Amino acid sequence: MFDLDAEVRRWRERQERMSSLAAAELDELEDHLRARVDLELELMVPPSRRRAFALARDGLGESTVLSREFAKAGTPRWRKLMITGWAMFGMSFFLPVRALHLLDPATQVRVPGEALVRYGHEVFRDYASDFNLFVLPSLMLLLTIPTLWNAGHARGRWLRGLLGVTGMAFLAAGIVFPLVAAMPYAVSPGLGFWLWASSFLVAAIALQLRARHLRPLHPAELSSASEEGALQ
Amino acid sequence: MKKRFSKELVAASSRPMVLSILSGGESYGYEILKQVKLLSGGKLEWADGMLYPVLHRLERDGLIAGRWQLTDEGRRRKYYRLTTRGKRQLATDRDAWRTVHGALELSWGGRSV
Repeated sequence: MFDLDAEVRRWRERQERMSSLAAAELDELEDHLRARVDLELELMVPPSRRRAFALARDGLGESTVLSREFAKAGTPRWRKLMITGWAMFGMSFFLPVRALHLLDPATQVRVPGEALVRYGHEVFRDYASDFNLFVLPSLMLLLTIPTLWNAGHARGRWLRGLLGVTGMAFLAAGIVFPLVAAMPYAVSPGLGFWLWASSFLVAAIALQLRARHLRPLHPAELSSASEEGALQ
Repeated sequence: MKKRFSKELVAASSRPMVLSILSGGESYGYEILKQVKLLSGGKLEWADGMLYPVLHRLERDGLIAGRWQLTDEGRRRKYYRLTTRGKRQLATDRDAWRTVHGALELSWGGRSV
């Protein structure tokens, strides 16, 4: 028994995986798909839901082609994400990234009013002047700048891997380190730290979406792309 | 898209076509595609997925406005309507296309419209 809802769900999941279309764009395409299925069923003798769905799905085209055509009409989602990542990264320089709280040696309770707050730009300046390796992740994000102008496609794969791993590692460290560190003071990461660490993950996701967007078309997709591009 | 029309011609006519259809009232993607086919006697058939980027561009340019509404079946559907700016653009496009059409008719020895 052909389950239309399940097939539409699978189609949508595939689009979410393979394309860079936003949820609202997929909602619109899903409505189109279902409307086309309804029409095909009306025209078919005898009606076949399976054939009607296949016709409607093929009529809409491949994920990559759809992504590209939608991207021509506005800012691609990956570019918005990349800009968001950069905005988070930039904001982290002006926010507290860590606070050191002195602990009472006897009770191990924080001493009120004894916190030392450090801002992102202060920490970065300190690390840069000491040639500390912790400067490298921040510099790594600079490598994503050319992608905003569609350059640097070749290094996309390793860069997004590095950014993703870096982001996850720092987020994990931000959670674990304050719990396990044995020091005479307590460390608490500030909002700046979370923004800074998350910005790497956001940039990695943006590069992943960009890779889908720029993926070379298969020969079968190329023929439909050349026809479908007519509306642009 | 049927091969007899060039890409350029289809691209150039997509805006006035969509604006003209929406001048008749609010509509949604699939209905617009059916209208295009109907108005051209089946000769002009746009690829399904490619209408939406056109609609989004017109929306971004402020020529049409979209709103989401629930259908009787409980599905979300985006309806588009012509804006005031879109009406002005349609009038401009109509003049331009009539001029082109008239000139071509005359050059082919026919009567101008």
